[in-house]
Amino acid sequence: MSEEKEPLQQLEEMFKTFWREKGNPSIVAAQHTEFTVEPKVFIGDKLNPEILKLLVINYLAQSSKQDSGIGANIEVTPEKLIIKTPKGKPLVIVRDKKIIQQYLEARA
Amino acid sequence: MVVNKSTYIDSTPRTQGTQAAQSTGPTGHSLLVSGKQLIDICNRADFSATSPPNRSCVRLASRENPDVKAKFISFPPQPLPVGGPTYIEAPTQSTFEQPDNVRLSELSYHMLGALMPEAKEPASKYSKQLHTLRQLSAQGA
Repeated sequence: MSEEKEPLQQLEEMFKTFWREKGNPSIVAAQHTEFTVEPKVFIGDKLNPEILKLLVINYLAQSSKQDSGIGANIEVTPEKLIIKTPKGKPLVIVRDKKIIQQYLEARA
Repeated sequence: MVVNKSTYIDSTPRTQGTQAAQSTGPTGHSLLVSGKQLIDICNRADFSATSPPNRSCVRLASRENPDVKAKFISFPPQPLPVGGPTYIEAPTQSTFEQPDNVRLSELSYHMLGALMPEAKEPASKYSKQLHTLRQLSAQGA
């Protein structure tokens, strides 16, 4: 019987799956082996910003879908976009103008 | 906060081509290498690797070590040699900021959980684990 993984390990695996499915991992092809270059998932007690970016982009894309229930948790100005928990605690603050613009356009 | 430039490298045996699959085998072994070691490996590599331009270029001596698998390579904060491997640089913290009081469990539960509902359970368990640890720590203090 296989041992159940620790929750943090399970989360790491899920982030990796997410990265492989939604990201654009670099494939380096050697003669007998292929390498998939991926960012480290956690850096200290934070999520790798590269994965966070992918997460934010997909989260915002999901929010534009009807009935996702996500839109209410997003506060946006032209300079800053804040993704919050349902209780209003800020989770991520995005200052990437391009992403904010895309979100505003999708919402309009 | 200074973010170390880190790259996770995972080798995946080729699934196309019988010869390649046989040469890599079903399981590989892990090798922990530093940025300098990686550069050394790349410099010694004796095979032609193809890699897309402007992408991370890692050339490992797969001819000699067909099952080599590199994990968690952190490049030291020093200039990389010309022709050496490059890496994908993470966006700066200022563009995508995680407030200090936000825990990974919260971020995972709300954001990854919105995209992958199966992530909510481990995120919730992890949160409970942290809570228990904090309680134990407070009792011991």
